[in-house]
Amino acid sequence: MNESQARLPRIVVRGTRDGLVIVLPERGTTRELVQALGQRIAGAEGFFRGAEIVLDYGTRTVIAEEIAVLRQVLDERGITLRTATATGFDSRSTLRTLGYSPLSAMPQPPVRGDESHHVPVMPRDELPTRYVRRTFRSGMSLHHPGHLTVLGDVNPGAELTAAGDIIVFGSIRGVVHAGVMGDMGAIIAALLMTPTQLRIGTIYGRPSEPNTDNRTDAAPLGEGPSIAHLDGGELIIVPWYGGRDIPPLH
Amino acid sequence: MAGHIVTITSGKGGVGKTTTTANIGTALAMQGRNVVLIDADIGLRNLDIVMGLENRIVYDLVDVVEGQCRVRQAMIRDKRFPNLSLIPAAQTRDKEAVSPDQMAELTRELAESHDFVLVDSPAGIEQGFRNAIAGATAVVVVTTPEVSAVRDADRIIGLVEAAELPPPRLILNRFRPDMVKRGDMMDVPDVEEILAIDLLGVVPEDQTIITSTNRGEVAVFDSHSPAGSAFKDIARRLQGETIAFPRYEAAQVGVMSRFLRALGFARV
Repeated sequence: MNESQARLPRIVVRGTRDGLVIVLPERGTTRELVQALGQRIAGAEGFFRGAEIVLDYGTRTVIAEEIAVLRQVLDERGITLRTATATGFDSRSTLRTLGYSPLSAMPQPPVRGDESHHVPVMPRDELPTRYVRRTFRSGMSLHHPGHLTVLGDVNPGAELTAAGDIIVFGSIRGVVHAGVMGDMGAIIAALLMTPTQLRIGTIYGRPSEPNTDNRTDAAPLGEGPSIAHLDGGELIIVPWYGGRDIPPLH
Repeated sequence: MAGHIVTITSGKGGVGKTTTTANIGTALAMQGRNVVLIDADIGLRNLDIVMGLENRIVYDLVDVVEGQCRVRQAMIRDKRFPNLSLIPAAQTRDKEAVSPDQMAELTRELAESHDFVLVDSPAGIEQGFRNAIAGATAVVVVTTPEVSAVRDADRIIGLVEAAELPPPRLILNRFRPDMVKRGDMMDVPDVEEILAIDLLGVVPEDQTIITSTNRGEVAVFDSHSPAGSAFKDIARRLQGETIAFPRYEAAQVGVMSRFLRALGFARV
């Protein structure tokens, strides 16, 4: 069992102006997380006893069941969970639903559908750009804190996320999220656009189902170069013929 | 020169890996090759049943890697072909009983004396799968034309590529031209477009597979079985031959067009 212990997700504990913050890793199952958290605390029982901490989900997806389990782990060790926080818009709203008040240290994502209020952290032209030459198959994912260009396909079950724009020279069939830090002016472009789901900023969109015959992955939709952007708070996909079709920067 | 070590895998269960392994193995033996099959699905032993060899098992794969017996002792000779044998999986152990290094060593040793070592992989992407591909010189991914099976095949292809093995080749199993025609099933190009790997064969849905599997016979013996003939083609392609892909079409063709087609006129 030594091998599995070595691969447990890493849990970081930070002292901040909000008190002790336990930062959870993006990856790893709930079980691994519980094990890792247990070990982390076991290493410093005295330090944590009676402490009041904040759970930081970071970019990890918040699941109600998981947070309940983690809370129990903390309770059993006499640690009080002051609140939980997260980076992603959805995770934050999930946390609010569950009765936690996410910390406002992070830049507040813009209100849904309101593009004008958002100011990108860095000018869009200055974001770092990454070029990747490969096909993303089911189960693969990539995040880049800038613009992302892929020469290859994004298959169903694969996921790309980037703070800026995402351009795929190939087919998008999986999930692609541009402007993941809240940039509502980000765009997604691809030679073939038949995504499972597209996201720009905090807006989610999935292709409207042209017919009820939705049994194959290769639906005839977005055939030919397409570009997705937000228009009046709605995610739209339009044919993309060249420079004149690039939506203006907000 | 050492033989080929071909792993047959899928990701999703129930798409026909074991049947495929048994049929390709038998077809290769019929075509005069020296073949050994390894059932790497430890704990869920099946290949011996499909081959009709269950009652001859004395030693198994785990006995071999643990040194309880010599490799030769665990190799069960086929009922018909002396140049075909099977190393069965252990039924009472689990996948951790064998390590990838042990599998790589065993398959390499067998490849010294055989033209083909076929490894029947378990479903899934865990240790059993990693064992199965450990020694492979070629990987064959089996899928059916269902969205879920294709999705899992895609995942497996990614893992095979990440393991720095040569690009796998694809077998599309249980293909039903009538359903494709009605728009109820993905067609061959749809699957090829997503998976983007070379096609090794298309095996049509064939009821004789079920009856032959239950009897411990393989479809390649049945000269009337469309699946059997597809597996024979696949075996030839594995040996490097170029065999044209037959076009599978829906059966309800009019008398006239069937007549014309027989004469080589119509393409519909």
